[in-house]
Amino acid sequence: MAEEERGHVEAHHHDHHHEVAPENRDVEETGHYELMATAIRELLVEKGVVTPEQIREQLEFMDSRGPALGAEIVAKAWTDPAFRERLLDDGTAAVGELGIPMAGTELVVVENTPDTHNMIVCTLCSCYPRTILGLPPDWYKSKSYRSRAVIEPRAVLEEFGTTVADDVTVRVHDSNADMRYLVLPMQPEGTESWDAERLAGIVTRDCMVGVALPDASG
Amino acid sequence: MQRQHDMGGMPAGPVEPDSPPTKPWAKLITATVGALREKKLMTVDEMRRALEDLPSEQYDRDYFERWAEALTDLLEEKGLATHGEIASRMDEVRRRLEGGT
Repeated sequence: MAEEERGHVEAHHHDHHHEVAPENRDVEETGHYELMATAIRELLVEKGVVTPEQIREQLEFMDSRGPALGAEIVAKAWTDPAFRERLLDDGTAAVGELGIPMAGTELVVVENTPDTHNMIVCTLCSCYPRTILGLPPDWYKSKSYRSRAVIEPRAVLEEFGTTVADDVTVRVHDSNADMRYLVLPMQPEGTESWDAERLAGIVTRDCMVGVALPDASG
Repeated sequence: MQRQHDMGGMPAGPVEPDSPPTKPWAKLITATVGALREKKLMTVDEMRRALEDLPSEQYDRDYFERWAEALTDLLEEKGLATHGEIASRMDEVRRRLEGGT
């Protein structure tokens, strides 16, 4: 019964309600969620549901994840053809070699080629290769990106300042709770002599989500 | 019926590539969910269901605010903490902070 009532409310509000822009919310409301996060942690610790150590370990792991890890994977793939092959064949196992867990999800690495540009979205929620890239950026979780990436990817790419030539296919991959994607960008021309560390320096988060291309000119 | 979370292909405004750093409380919520998952007290699919079931005024909130709301629903459902307990603890935390202790 509660479900039906809730469904009814949801339908009623649907046409009238718009996304609340973060800048339109006042400080007090942000404080509300800070209090909520603290309250939940305290209650769960007091009840013995979780320990402070378990929460701390989660926070530490979170802080240890970030685009640098992804850049390391890409640079290794560019400089080690056998690894590149393994990465494309079984992403989960290949990043496992580098000690990166996928936490129960499967990693699919998609390779950009002269003919195909890949781009990642999660239309249903905001699934993201968190154990590699860290927490997703706000735009990845936004309604705009989730809605439009699958119908007008080129227009969305332009909003990131990325132009993909008309004769290049844009392939959009819709992630889900069990399957995460990572884009393997094309190695820019002129970087053939670079070592892996220098190469990693030009691989940004946005390149690995497929909304940008590595820039070797800087 | 297409539900609120299923937004692929729906019309929407331009994407704002800007991304401010994640706030500490949002990390704490994420860490709490992570710890509960690790202890097998909740699953990723249960969390998704709780998110998708939120009333639209909550679903339309900021990502981590939505997570916080879904987490409180799931905690109540699983008998781990009620909305009432969380609300009164929030009052207590606020008073503590205001008291400067």
